[in-house]
Amino acid sequence: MNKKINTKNQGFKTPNNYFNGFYDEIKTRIYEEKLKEKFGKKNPFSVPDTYFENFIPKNENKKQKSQKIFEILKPYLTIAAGIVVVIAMWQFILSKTNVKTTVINKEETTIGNKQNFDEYDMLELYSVTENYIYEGDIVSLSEPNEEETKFEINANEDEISNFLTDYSDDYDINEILASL
Amino acid sequence: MNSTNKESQINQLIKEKDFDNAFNYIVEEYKEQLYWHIRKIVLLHDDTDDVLQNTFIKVWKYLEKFKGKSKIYTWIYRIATNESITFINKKKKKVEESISTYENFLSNNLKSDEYFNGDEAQLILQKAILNLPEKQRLVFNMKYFDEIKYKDMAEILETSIGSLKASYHHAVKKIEKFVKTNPDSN
Repeated sequence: MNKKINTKNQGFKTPNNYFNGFYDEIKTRIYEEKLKEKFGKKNPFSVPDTYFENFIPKNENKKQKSQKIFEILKPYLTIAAGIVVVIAMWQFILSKTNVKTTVINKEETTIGNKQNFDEYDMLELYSVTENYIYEGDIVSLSEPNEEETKFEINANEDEISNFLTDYSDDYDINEILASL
Repeated sequence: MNSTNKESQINQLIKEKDFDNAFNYIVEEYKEQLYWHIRKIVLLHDDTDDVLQNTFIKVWKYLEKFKGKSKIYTWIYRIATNESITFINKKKKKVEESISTYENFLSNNLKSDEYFNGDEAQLILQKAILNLPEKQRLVFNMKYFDEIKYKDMAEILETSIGSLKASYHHAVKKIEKFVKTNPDSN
């Protein structure tokens, strides 16, 4: 049986470029061995006594300090956060009330006052109307529509004139007429 | 506990977002290794302490961002190496404004450093290492003293194995030549 045998490498292979840097690697080893013979691998440096035992990274120190400060401040921060939440809620409720107030027009206020006249005493009524007017003045910046501001006067000119004459001591009649 | 177990334990703590404990483990496990790695680059103890502190500050800062794509060990070595090089470059600028070269400054200070216990021959070796270009110096220290594998070194220094082998070859050749030509070393 004449089977062809590769006499050169007998079927074995080497990694690519194995022999390319071979010479350099051997030389490197030779130099290295010489250095080891001469100097060994002894570490010529030393550290202060217990340096490694006492070594704590500076950021650890900072972290511990800041943790301590946080522990001390924790109850105060909780109270402060609570106050902030209460204020925020109060502001929210107040803003809702303001929105409602602006919707109420003068006519509704009058009707409301009339309807509830018997139920409230004068002081309560005064405070309620004052509140409506006050809130409305501040919040409502839109112009009121014509119907809302329209007053119905059920009196003729003579009746008005008589009314004004009766109270002429309190008002300057000419001034009022001029303004009309 | 061996270093692989420790490494996987640290990885687990990071996954669980227990950064405090992960950091404590890292400090305990690597403080000495990192110290010696940095010391061989910056040479003086006080400088090493500064760089080691900076290294751990960076580790703490970026621990949350560590995704585990590389080993913890190669990641922190890379931080330490970068911090050392940054430190040296800063100091170089300062020193070279006033005195001659930073390498001269270092070799003069090394002799009087109370934490250098080497004999004259050791001093020559350190001077020879100081004469190497930055990359060759790093590679020589990591291979000769720390026996770090080329594969890990490639990850730490973000370069190819071939380039590292070439750097190491040039480094040992140059040191051998320096020692030969320096009469004090015999």
